[in-house]
Amino acid sequence: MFMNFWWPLAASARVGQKPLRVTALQQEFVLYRTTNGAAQVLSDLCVHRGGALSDGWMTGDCVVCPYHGWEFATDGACVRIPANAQGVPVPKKARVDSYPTVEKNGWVFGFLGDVASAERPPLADIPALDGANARRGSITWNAPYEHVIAQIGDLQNSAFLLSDEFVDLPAALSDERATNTEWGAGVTANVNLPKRITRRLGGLVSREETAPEIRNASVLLCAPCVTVHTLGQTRAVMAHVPVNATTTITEWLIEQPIPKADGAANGLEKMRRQIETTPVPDSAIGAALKRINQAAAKHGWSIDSELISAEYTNVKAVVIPSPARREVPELAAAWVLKKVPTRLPDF
Amino acid sequence: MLKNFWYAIAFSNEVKQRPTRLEIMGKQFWAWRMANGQGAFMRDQDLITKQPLGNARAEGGVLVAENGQRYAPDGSGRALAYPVKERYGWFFVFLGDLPEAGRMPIPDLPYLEDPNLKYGRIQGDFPWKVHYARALENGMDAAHAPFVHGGAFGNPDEPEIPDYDIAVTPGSGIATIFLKPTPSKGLWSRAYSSKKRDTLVKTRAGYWMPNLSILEVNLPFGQLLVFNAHVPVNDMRTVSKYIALRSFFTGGWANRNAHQRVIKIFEQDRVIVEAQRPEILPFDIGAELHVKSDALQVAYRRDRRAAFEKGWGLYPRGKQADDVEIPSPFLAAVS
Repeated sequence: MFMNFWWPLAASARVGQKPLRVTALQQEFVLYRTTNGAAQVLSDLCVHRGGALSDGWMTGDCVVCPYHGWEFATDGACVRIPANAQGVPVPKKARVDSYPTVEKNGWVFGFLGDVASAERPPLADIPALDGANARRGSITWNAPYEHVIAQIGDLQNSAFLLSDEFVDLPAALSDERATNTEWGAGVTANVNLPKRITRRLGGLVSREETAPEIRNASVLLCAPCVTVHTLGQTRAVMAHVPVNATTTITEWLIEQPIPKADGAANGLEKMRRQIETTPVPDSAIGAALKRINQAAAKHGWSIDSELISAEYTNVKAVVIPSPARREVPELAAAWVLKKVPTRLPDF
Repeated sequence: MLKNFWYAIAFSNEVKQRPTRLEIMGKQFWAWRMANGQGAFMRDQDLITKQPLGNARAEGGVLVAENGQRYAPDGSGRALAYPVKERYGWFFVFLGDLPEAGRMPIPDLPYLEDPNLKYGRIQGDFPWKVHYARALENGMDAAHAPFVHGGAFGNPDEPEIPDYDIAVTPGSGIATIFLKPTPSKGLWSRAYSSKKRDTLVKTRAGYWMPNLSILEVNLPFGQLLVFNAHVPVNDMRTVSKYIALRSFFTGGWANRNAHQRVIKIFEQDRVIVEAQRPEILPFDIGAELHVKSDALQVAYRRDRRAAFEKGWGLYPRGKQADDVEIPSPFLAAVS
């Protein structure tokens, strides 16, 4: 798991004026909208007593900790401590990490990290799936997000997920092409969908046959965890966010010419065994993610989740540092909660 | 978890001649009462075989394991045993190996042993998924009431905590805070006349190491006292065993209502305290930010820290470990 990326933390539709808790990268975040509708991501951990801001409420543009009513502005600074006497200034240390937040094409992204904007990997390039036929949902996997992406990023699996009638695997692929960019990768191919036979049991048994067809399919990987899928006219965007090193939540939006009530839910559920138990296939997308993550590790962005699990869980709170920790020298001593430990890059 | 303290771990009337198995600090124990009424407390593990005792029964002064092996509760047997005392209706056990002379005694609590006090009394359990020290800090916290218990006993319009004094004795701190009152609801509103509403309410809150807290609310119509023994079941679970006294509606007919009020307050706290991170209260004072109104909690943390620095932390990182036993004073005396 890596910091210093724009992480897609929630589909826009889930973020409102009521604070929302999102767990990602072994940390808790609170997502909410200010009165003008702008989405904001803060660390969910109140600096005072470790209360969850996401259990609180909004007062104007401030999120209020439910334990002692401390009010935090969008920049993470506490602006009111109700127990304090009137006129007592709020200490500088009363603050939580506030993360740069961007909303794009149906997703709320938080930049979870502290590097300057010039050094940041770009925001995932995703299409807007906001047509009337769009469906959304999520699924939780007992698998590392790298495994989930390697499996779902495989073209055959992607075609299986997006096909309106589930294709018997393997569907024959032709004209496969792969592209690589610094923070992404793409694969395209023609999927040769075989002749399909559907049997319907009603009052009478009927038999329908579909002619073989060729559809263009593609999967695009955008660091750190988004996959964009197409199969013919069907498109999907999936964010595979690691809750921790072994659990992943895939949140998805899908747009189908003939929308299915369950969107991609049924297909994803059918892939559970494969994703959670079989070894990672050597898909081009899986390999690209490995390459990107190695580059991130060289930057020193790899969160030491094993150390956190072994030494910190239940005992010590750590947070992903926000840009203000580097950018605002006068706050250098104001951060009570320590930064997540990172792994030294392998050389 | 800290060793070398007297821990209230049960109500006296819960411990009977027939042994009961209890989880304390992540380990299994037996509590029972001998024929002469004396309480006994023993680890549910044979020191040699490392096996639990199975369906144990009491016989004479000893505990007999399912396999017939006999264990004396005075340390002469093959299981770790711990001293027991009873007071205030709680069953206290000394968890640690400090000799008797060096032990901080069971504290003298106000009110509970006053024979002239004709108060209504209830006691009960509130189990929750929290670390006991988080529960304790919550149980003596005045500043959260307006936000977590608004309407019940906190006044959301008056969240300010005025400067307060703390009476400090070794291992204890009791704060006296004058707060603006909250209008009562339900049954209690009948005791709450309008002319009493402007009086400041004297509130006392405090702790005794390691796991007792008090909240004393002097309502305009009477006094309400909530004592708690926050029993550390393990790092993530606590049973808060409360004793609540009230100077008004002292008859048994009001007990049910009083219980409901205590539980309602606890349930409001549950959501908040169960979400606190880190779950285990830090030993490092600087790990969380304190303001003036937190002086009482800081005093408690200092006492915890002091015990930790004496080497009384049972587990090096604060988390329980399966292979660490709580030392027994009896065994220390034998060896």
